[in-house]
Amino acid sequence: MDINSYNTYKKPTWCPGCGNFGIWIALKTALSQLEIETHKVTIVFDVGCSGNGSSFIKCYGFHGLHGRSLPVAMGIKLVCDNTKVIIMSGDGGALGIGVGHFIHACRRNVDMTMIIHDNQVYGLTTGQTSPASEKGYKSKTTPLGVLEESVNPVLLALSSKCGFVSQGFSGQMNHLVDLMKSGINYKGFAFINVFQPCVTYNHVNTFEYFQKRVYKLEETDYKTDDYNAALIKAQECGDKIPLGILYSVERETYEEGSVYTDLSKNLSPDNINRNIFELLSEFE
Amino acid sequence: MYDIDWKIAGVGGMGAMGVGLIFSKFMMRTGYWVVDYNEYNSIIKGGHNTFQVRASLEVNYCVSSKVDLLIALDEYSLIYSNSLKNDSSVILCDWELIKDKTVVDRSRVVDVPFSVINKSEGGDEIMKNIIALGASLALIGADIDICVDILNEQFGKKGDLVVEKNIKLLKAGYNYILGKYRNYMVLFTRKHGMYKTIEPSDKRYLITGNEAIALSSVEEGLGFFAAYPMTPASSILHYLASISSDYNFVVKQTEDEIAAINSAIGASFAGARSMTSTSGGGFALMTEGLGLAAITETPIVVCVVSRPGPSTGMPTWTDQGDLRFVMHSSQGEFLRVVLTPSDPEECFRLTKVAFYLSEKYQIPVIILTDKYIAEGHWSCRIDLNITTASRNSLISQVALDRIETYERYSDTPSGITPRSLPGMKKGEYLANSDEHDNYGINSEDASNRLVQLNKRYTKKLARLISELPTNKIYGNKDSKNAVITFGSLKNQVLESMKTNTNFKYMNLRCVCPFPTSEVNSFLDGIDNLFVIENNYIGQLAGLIREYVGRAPNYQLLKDDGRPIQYEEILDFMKKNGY
Repeated sequence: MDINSYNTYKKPTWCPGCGNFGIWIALKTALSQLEIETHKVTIVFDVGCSGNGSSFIKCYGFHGLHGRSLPVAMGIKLVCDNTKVIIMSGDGGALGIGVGHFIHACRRNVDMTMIIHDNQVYGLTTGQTSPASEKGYKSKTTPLGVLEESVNPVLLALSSKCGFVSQGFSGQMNHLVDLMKSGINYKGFAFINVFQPCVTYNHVNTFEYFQKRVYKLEETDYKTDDYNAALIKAQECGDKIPLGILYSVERETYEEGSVYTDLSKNLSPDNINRNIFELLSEFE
Repeated sequence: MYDIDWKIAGVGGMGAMGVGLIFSKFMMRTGYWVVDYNEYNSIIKGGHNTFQVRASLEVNYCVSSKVDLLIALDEYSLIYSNSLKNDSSVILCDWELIKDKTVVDRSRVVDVPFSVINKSEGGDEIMKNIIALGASLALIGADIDICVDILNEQFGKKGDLVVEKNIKLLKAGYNYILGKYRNYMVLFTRKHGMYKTIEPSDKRYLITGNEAIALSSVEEGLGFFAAYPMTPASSILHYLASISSDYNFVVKQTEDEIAAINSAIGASFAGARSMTSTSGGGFALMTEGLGLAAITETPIVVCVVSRPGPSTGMPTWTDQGDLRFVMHSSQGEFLRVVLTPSDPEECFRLTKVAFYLSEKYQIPVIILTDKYIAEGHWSCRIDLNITTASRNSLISQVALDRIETYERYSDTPSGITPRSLPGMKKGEYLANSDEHDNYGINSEDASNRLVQLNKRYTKKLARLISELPTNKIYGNKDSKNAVITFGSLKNQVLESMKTNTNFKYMNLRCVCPFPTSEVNSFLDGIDNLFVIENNYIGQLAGLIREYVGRAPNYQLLKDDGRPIQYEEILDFMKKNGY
C-alpha cells in the first residue's frame, strides 16, 4: 500500500517540529505495511492537537467530543467486526477529562488500539498544565508550579488490567512503526503511550529531554509477559524512560466473551425488522 | 357497568407490588381494562409501597383517588382508609396486628388473620401478600382458577415447591373469606355489582411504558443499546439485557451516561440502530453527545424518563419538569425531535416513529416520558402490523462504486445525504464534531458554515414537518373551552371527559418541532385556554405563548411527585365554569 493513499486533500496544520508529525507518518507507515486499506480502518480522534489530525488521514474517521473517543470507538467495534479501530487522543483527553473511560477500556478489552499523544501539556488551548505534567511544572494555569503528582499512563493501564501496554517516542520513527504494528495486530485493547514534544508550549519535556533518557526494552533482557516486572518497569519515568512493549499477554476479548453471535447481521438491511410475537406472550 | 378500584399497601419487602401486578393481570385476563399505579421509596427494604389497580369493563385511563377495596398489610397502611370510595368500600387487614384500634371504623374491616393462616399453612413470612390476594379475590366474587394459572407462570422458574406453596396460600385466603365472610362477599358484590369473566373482544397486553419502548425498539431492529442505571428508566435496560442474546443485539451497561450516548453514537455511525435511555440527571450528562449526533448527522434515539428534579430530586416519583430541558439541551442550535407518548400503547407506536425519523433525517430523536407511564401498567392492544420502514438514508456499495468521490456532507435538496458505513469501499469520510466541509474535514469558512447549517436545519425541517405525528382533538369540537396537555396527562383528561364533556382537548405527542399551526387552529375562536401540567412553572404554557402567542386563562400545575388526579381536574373545571 502506498503511504500517500492515506492522505486527504488537507495538509497538516501542526506547528513546525511538532511531535504529531512523527506519529502521523508512523501510523500511515504502519497501516500501509500491514496492508490495511483506507476503508478497512476506523480512527476515532479526541479533541486537541492530536484530534486535528483527523483531517489529515483518509479512512473512516470520527472526530468526537473531548475525552470521549473511547466510548465512540467501543460502540463502533462492538457492532462492526470488519474494521480495525484505532483511537488517537492527547494526554488531556485520555488522562484528564476522559480518564474514567480509559480505565474501563483497559479492563473491558475490546479489540482496538489506543495511541496517546503524550506531550505533558494542553497544546490547542495554548499551554495549560496536563495530568501528565511533572510535579512543579509551570504553566499559564500553574504559575507557581503543579502541586499534584503526575498520572503515569502505563502504570495506570497496567493496574487497570490492560493486556498490551507499550511506550514509544515520536523521535524514533521506525521503533514507533513497529510498536503500532504490534498494537494493531494485538487481539484486544492495545495501549501505546507516545512521548511527543510540544515545541511551542512545553519547554521542559523537549526532544532533547527524551532523546537523553529513552532506551529500548528490546535491547535488554526484559520479558514482556511478567505482570509484576511490568509494574516495576512502568515506574521508570525519571532519568531513564523505557520504550517498547512493557507488557503483552493473551486475554479473552470482550467480543469473545459476549453472547452475541453474529454482530455483522445487525448491519444487514434485510434484518432490520424482528418478530416480537413470542416476547409479547409474557405480557398477556 | 362493573368497575373496581383496588389497592394494596405495605412496608417495602412485603410484596405489595408483586401481588398488585398479579391482580392487574388477573383482571385483564378475565376481560377487564386495567390500569395500575405504584408508589415506592428510593430504598430497598422498608419505606412504604402501594400498588393501585383500576379495572373496568369500559376503557379506563387512570386510577382513581378513591378505592373500593384497600388491603393494608401493616398498620401504617391504614392511612389510606380516608380514600375509601363509599359505604360499601372495605379494608382488608389482619386486625390482630393493628395496635391502635381507633384509627379506622371496625365495621369497615374485613379481618383476615394473615399471620395465623400463614403459620398454619406453612407459608414464609413474605407470603402474607398472597393470602391477602386470595382473600380480596373472594371478596369481589372472582373465580381463582385463572389466578392459579398466573401463579404457575410467575413462580414456575422458582420450582414446584414455591408454586405449590403460593397456590396453597392463595386458596387459604380465598377460603377464609368464603367461610367467615360469605355474607360480606354477598354484600360487597350486591352493592358493587357482580364480578364476571368476560371474553375479551381483542388481544390485550399488560405492559408498562418502559416495556413498550423496549419491545418496540427490538421490533425496529435495535442493534446497540447502552445505558447507565437510573430510576425510573432502568427497567428498559433490564428488559433489553434479558433478551439481547436471543435477539442478537448488543446491550452494554457503561461506566456513565456520557459513555452510554457516545458509544450509541459510535455504533450508529457503524450502522447499528442505536438507543440509550436515562432520566433527567443522566440526560444532563448526555447533552454534549446530543449535539455530537446532530453535527455528525448520526441517528440516535434517546429515551428520557422524567422524575422530579432538580439534582437527585425524588428518584421514584413522577413529573413533567424536563420538557424545556430536553428541548433546549446542548450547546448551539440544531434540529431534534421530541416525542411525548401518553401511555404504553403510544410508547410502542412512537418508538417506531423515533427510529424512522432519526435514521431518515440523521438527527437525534428524544422520547420523553415520565415515571407515571414508564412504570405503570396499562392493558392495551399492540398492533404488530404497523408497517415499518427498511433502512433509510444509507448509500449502497453499488452507488459508491459509480461515483468519482463520495461527499458525505454535500448539500442536497432535502438536506439529507446518504451515509456510508465503515468497511464500504470508496465510502471513507470523517464524522466531525468540528464544523466541516462536504468531506467532513474541518472548515471555519463562513459560507460553508451557512450551507451546512441550512442543510442540517432548514432543509431537513421543511420535509420533516410533514412526517411528525399529528395531535388528535378530543371532546366537543365546537366548545369554546379548550384544554391542552402533553404526554401522560392525556390519561387523566380523558378520564375526566367521561364526566365533563363540555370542552375540546388536544394532547401533544410531539412538542419539538412545536406543532405551531395545529395548536393555532385548535385555539382559533376559543374563549378559554386551560393548560394542565405535572410541573411547577408551567413549561408547556410557556411554549404556547412563545409559538402561538396565547396565554392560558387557567393553569393547573402540580409537582409534588404524584400524578395529577383526574378528580382534581374535574374539581378545577367545576370551580372555573368549564
